[in-house]
Amino acid sequence: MIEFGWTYFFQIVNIIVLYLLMRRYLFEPVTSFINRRREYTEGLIDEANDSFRRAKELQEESEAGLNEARREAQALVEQAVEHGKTMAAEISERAKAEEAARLKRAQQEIEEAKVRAIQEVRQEVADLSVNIAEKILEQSLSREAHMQLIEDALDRMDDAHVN
Amino acid sequence: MDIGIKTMFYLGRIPITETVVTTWLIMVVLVIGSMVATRRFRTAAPGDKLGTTEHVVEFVVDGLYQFIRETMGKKGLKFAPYISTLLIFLVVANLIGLLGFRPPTADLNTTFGLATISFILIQGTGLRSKGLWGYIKGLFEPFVFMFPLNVISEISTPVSMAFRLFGNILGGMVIMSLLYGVAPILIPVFPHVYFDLFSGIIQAFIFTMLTMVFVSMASDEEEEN
Repeated sequence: MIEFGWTYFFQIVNIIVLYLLMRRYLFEPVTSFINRRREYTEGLIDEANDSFRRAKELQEESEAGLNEARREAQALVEQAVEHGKTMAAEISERAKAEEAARLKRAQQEIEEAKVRAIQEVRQEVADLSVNIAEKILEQSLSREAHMQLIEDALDRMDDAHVN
Repeated sequence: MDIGIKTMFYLGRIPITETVVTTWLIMVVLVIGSMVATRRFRTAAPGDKLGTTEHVVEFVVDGLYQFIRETMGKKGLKFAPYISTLLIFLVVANLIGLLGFRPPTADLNTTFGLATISFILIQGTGLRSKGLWGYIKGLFEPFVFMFPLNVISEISTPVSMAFRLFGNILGGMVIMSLLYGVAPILIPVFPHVYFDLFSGIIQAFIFTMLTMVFVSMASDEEEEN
């Protein structure tokens, strides 16, 4: 118990052998696994960070694209509105012109109708006057001479009316 | 009452004592236990989920390494497998009295064997960090005539470690066998808690801690130079 013997050497060898075996079968496998797992986890974290950054970039890109598209659409709408306004103005211009033309034509027609009507009335009056004169005078003046007389009278009337 | 060490058998003319046989038993249990417990660590991919056994083993090994790093610094990690083996062996060896075996650490041969290894580690680390000349010079500091005292101081380290461990475990064992002689039933339960569990774990811890402290003291001087 308190005397030294072979046991001393045996125990030194035993502990060294135990140390070697424990290192081989306990500490090395566990620490190497822990290290491998740490590397693996770090790789995963790096990968996740990369993916996150890429996703952010993509998001920014798509947002920029969206904004661009929105701006383009806005421009298109504005352009269309402008075009519409121009077209409306043109149409209204044309309508006004047409209206004016039609008015003018109508006035012309009215004028013509008036002239025609006056002509007819004048004819009628002439005929009537001749008939009346014939009946009154009971004279056999020639129809042509009468007509001439009446025309002159009417012309004079016109001139007097105009003046 | 028999607290002496029995010789179990002879290998030729060499006596094989109870201490050696118990140590072999502990070694077999620890090594086979390690092989079984770390089976999946060798085959598992880094992303695999581990079982409870693996978690416990990882907790223990990682805890030991952490503890060693805290005590000795990062440089101490190269000693970690030996220090951890030492601590595990001492805890098991001190507690094996609970199973009725004679603790191998209640034999001066075991504790001196362990102290010898620690001594070699301490001196080897000192020699490596200071160089041969620095190491020899260190023994003559601060004055030349301090040399004998320095030598005694170096040698007394493992001697005190060996006797401390041996004395505590043997003392506990002696008190327990006396108690078993007087009151063999129920009474010894509580002293067992103190003399085997508490004292055993504390002594294993002290021996390991001292080895770590002296080794790291020997290697710390490297940084100062």
